[in-house]
Amino acid sequence: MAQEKAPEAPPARVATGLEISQAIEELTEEDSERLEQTAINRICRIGRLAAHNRTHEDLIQEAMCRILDGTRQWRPENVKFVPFLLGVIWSISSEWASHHERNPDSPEYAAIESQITKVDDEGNSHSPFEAIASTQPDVEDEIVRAELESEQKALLQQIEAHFSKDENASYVLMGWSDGMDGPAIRELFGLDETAYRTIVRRIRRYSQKIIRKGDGQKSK
Amino acid sequence: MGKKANNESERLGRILDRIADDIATAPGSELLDDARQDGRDPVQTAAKVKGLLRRALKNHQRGLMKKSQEGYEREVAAIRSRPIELPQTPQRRRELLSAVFSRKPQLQAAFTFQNRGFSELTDEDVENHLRKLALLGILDEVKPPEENE
Repeated sequence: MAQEKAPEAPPARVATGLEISQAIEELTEEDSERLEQTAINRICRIGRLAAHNRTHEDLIQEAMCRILDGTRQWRPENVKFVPFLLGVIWSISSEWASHHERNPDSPEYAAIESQITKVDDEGNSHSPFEAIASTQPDVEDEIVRAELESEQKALLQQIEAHFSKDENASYVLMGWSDGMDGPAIRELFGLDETAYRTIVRRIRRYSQKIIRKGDGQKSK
Repeated sequence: MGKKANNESERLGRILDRIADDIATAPGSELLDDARQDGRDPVQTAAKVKGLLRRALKNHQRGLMKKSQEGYEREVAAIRSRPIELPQTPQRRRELLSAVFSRKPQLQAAFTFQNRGFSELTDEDVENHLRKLALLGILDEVKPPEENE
């Protein structure tokens, strides 16, 4: 006998401007700390070149703008505001990074070129940037790239050196570098949940602190 | 076991990803304690983050208001540019609108007046409403009071 299909639930509704405004006002100190730390972490993750010198504050604002203009739709019945905003921050930073990977030598306008390229009567595409000289990587970009690689190398070395005498923390860092998740690391190195959590907290606190410090030094 | 990282940048990336996962799930009290121990004030962080979000909200609202104002101005300009003959004086125009609503009381609810009574309409409101009614062809069915006499 054919089974009757269960009626489909209506899609959850998108938040109104008022709900978004209320969610902002209801943010706790914990939420704000989480949002700021995530944005700082993500900007460091993608690097200055991919971020095009945009800061973690720009990243938070961009995420908010996309929620407000409906590019990213927050459905309060499905997810709370803070986890949703964190997800948008992650995805925008990934988007910036992948745009940079696809266009390593192109400046930011490459992202919108496809949107403003016009097609003539004969079907030929014309980009408004055709008149601009070729986008060969310039010397300045190369210098920034080299600087960035050296900064990332230094950051990694600083983190690893800080925990070099802490055997368990070194195991965790090694496991993460090798793409392992928490349960796999705990099992391999015989760490219980509490010990693992304590180590992760120490690594997180130290790493975020030196990332902030590095950002502060650069902006001076 | 996952795949070995190809270079230092990838290794750092993986470490930062795991740290970000932890930031997302760590107890809030732990994040605040760590911030205080590092000499940061969570109250200031909250003010800064909320400020950023509020600014984005305000800019968005300003954009919407501008768009809506531009739409309204376009609509008014379109109405004003049509050659429509209306009574010459504000008093006559008000009488005509009143006559329309007497003839077609169902329109009164549609046109008046979201939170206002008929008497509170400005002369400009009356004129704009009459122009809209003219565009809809409704004025053709209602003659100005003096012409009915």
